[in-house]
Amino acid sequence: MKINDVITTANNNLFRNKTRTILTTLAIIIGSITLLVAESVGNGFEQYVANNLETGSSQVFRLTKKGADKYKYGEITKFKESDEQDSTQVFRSSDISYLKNTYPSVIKDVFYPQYLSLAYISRNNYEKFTGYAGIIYPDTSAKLISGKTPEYNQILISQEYVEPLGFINADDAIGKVVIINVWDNNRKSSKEFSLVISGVTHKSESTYPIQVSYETATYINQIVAPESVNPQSSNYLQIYTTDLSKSEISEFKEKLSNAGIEASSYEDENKQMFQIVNILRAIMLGVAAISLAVATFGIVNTVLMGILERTKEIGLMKALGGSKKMIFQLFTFEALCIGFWGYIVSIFLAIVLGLIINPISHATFLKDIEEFTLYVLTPLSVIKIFFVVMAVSFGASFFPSLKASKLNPIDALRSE
Amino acid sequence: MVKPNPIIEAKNITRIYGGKDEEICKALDGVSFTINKGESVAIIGKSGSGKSTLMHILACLDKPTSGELLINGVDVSKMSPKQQEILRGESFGFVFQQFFLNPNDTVLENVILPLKINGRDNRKIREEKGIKMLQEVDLLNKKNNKAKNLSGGQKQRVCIARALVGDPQIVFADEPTGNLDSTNGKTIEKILFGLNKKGITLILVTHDQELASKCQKQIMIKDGKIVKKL
Repeated sequence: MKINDVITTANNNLFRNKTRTILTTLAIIIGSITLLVAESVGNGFEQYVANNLETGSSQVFRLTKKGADKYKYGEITKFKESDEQDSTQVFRSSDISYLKNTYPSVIKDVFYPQYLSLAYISRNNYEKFTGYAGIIYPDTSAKLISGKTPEYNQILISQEYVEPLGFINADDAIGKVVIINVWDNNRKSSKEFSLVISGVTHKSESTYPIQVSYETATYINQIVAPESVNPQSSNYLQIYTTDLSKSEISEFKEKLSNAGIEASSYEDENKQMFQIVNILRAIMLGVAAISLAVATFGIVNTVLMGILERTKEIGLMKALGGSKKMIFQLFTFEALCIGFWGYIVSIFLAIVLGLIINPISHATFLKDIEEFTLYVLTPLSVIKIFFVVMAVSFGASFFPSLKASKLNPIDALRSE
Repeated sequence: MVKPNPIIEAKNITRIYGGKDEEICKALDGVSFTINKGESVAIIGKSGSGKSTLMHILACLDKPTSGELLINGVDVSKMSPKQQEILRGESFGFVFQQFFLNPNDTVLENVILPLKINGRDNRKIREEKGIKMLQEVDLLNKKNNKAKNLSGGQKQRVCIARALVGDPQIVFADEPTGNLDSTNGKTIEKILFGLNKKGITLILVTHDQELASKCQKQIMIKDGKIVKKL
């Protein structure tokens, strides 16, 4: 039998017992929909996390000293004279020269963390707003809805500041000048600086309302708080390394670890967040897998029943020259057709579901997190799950079809 | 006299069922005969005589336990399953007592089924061939009817059309008139022997002496052995 005849015959055979076909297809639809929803919600979380995490190359590491977090909530710790907590848990200038001298080929630069103590941000004739200021270290970038990462004397503002500062929209803000006023260390006096907006970030649940580059922050601090540019001590350091391979990175980390210093890259920190998302996704996919497993039994049953009803027909086809392969294909394609049509309906329903779920979630429990789209159906997910559903359909029909292909034509024709 | 041209040669064919834990049953016991191209042959015997088993073996639907079967001079046991399928699909036609039509398919679809199974021709040519066959059995007006809505005689005519659509060398007919009244039976007989006159080898399996007597050759089977050859 030609393959197109196999497919059309298999598809037509679905209409022989419409009720059974519809019920099995329904099982497939439920299974596929659960998978699609699980994927889409997983995508939603992943996208949200990805959009709101700072990204940076693997060349930037944040260093902390081991034991810096050794105090635990709910426990009391006795003071010992010998502890010298400060000197062991913070970085001092001696640590910086130690790092630079020990790993000259690895470490390109070491940064002290910079903090800007923001008094307010404003624009001529507009209100003044206050908040925290974030620092963007070299070779890292923030997720932007418009514009680009700030360079020297530039600034990023968060979306909610766009209108209060008198801009029409995010794009309108790019290239305009704002004024920030920064306190000194003791918050006694402050100074104004004019910066150009280079970009706009998402709303600030997950990021700072304003962000400037490390260079800009250092420049400002040199003017308002010079003692914080080169501090006596610091809880953490930021280092910028040469381009390292994965094995070199882990080797470097191990060496630092032996010296009592922990190094983590943005990747490491993001990995943890994604791990949580992945666990969530795995749980949902598990639930979906169960419903697809149930659908599998539906297909097995449908194919088996079809074979039982059509034993004579199988015998006839074999007597008339039909091969084992042909009979096998005929029943396999029947299952694949059920999977295919079921999945087509599922895609349609999944799209409709997205149109319902997202507006409802934004109106209710995600009211305050505007940029969090809960349900993101991607073409990649649709294709991925298509293969899963087809594989499941094929797998479910494999043994029944094999059984049918092995029927002896004489026995099949004799069966009453 | 026409030079005999054997199409089927059966040499000492034995078919044993059972074995192992089951009781052994010798359905065929050393059967030998030759059928020439264009002959009409009746295999006669009572129920359980082994005549159906013989037909199944001749049609390559079953394998003999021992013995040799040559079709067109080729040993069937040396053919691959694929070659046997091609042989069945291209050289044989089948007419069954129980018809074995697909009840919910149309008459035309039933007729062209062998062409579809064997992947021959495209849909258009298949249908043309099917229509030609339906003309020959005088059922063209029923081509779009469902097979289940036909009478017994009509069903058997569809069966014959289906057996012929692939242009076979041999038509096997297993009790073709067994389920029909005498009028319909006569029509079917006429069609079958008409085919034979066109050069198709006809192998009829029957317990009906009268039908068998119309064939050129008769092979009578009893308890798995040939008791009479005419």
